[in-house]
Amino acid sequence: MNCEWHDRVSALIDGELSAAAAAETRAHIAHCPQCSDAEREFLRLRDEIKAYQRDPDPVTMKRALNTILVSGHRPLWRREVALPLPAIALITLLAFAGGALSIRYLTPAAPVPEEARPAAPRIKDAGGEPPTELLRYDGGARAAILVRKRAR
Amino acid sequence: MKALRSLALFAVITIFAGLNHDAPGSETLPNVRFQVKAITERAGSRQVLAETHIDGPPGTDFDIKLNDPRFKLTADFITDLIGTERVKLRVKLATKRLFGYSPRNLPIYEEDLQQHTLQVGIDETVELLPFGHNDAETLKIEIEPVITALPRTREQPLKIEIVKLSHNGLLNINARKMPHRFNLVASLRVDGEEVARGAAQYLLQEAQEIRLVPVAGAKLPELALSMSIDSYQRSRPADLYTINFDIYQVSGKTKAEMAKNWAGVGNIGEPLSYELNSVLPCPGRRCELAFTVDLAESNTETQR
Repeated sequence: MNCEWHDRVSALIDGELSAAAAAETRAHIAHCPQCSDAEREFLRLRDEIKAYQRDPDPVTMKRALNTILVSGHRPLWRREVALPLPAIALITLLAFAGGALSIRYLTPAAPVPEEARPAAPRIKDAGGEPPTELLRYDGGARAAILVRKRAR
Repeated sequence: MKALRSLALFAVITIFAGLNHDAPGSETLPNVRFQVKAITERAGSRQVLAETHIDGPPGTDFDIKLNDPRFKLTADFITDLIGTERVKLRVKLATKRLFGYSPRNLPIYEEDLQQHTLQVGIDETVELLPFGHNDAETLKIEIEPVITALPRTREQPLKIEIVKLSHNGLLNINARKMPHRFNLVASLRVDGEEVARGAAQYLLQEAQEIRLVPVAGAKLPELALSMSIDSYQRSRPADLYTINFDIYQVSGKTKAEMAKNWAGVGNIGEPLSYELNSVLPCPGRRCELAFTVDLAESNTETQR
């Protein structure tokens, strides 16, 4: 059973990955024996194909083509997506986040006009309430407690 | 003969005076009265709005509440008698003042919380100013302690006497009596055997340090506990208490903290244990700290 990074290894060999994705894939290959084997196989095929004469014989061509088809190598735009749904969701999210960050940092932020800013919440004063018995003593100071000598 | 008669009379008077002295084991018990008055002062003149007297044995606690639609005050007093002429008051003061209304028309309050420890003599008065000082007119609550002696044979109930009723229920006072003084014993045990011990008398909600002294022959680091008995609650089958403590290792004049803010609930008279293997090096052995808290008999603190 192939590792789920198999298609990315193929894309790496074909030079179809971005620099970041290529770095990620190379880091994965270093720790994945399956992908390491797949990389060697892809490279061998590529070398074989490069080494073919301009007019290879049909049998050899068919054999090479079958080898490629069996190895699962297909052009990216022809491949079926075989990623699990959470991975697809994560990739989509990362793509959106990357796009949003690019727009944010590449486009200078327009200043918010004064009238468009949200107003601070207004606190209605309690002064409209009817006066209470203790109100006339309230100067707004903090409560205090002290000890005093009693006058004799 | 006349001189002898005078001497005999003098001796009799002296003996009776000695019998009436309020010494331990005497025929009288101390009684503490708190005279609480709500007063307004303006330009030197005073008007008493309400007055209440609280009578009870030493250690009587009370709280004062001011109720107003726009202002609330709660003052909780924990009281203890010190000697025969001073009272220690520990006060928690909470106020809540209506500040205004939010855009959703919900009330917004300004709240304050204070804690104070005061010592008041019988010739002193505590002044509680709910709104601080006000140049125009000041509202104050005066609390005067009066210490008397009641005959031991007479019952010493808790009593609240309303001398002058407050208008519109402005002032509410509640009183209660609960134990304040406790005897605490702390014991450090290794594999069930006591290796260090400390004991002290504790006052409710007052932290103090207790040293665990190694028993004869035990070789171990000296430990100190900074702890307090925070609350007491009547319960069955046994009354409950809560404690809060820190553990330090003492070396000369330095103290290294080993545990911070450990707390627990225990039953009066029954041991409460904590395993110490996580903070004390006890390889291959079981180390634990055990507390036993009992009610102290005395209610009067020795004057320091």
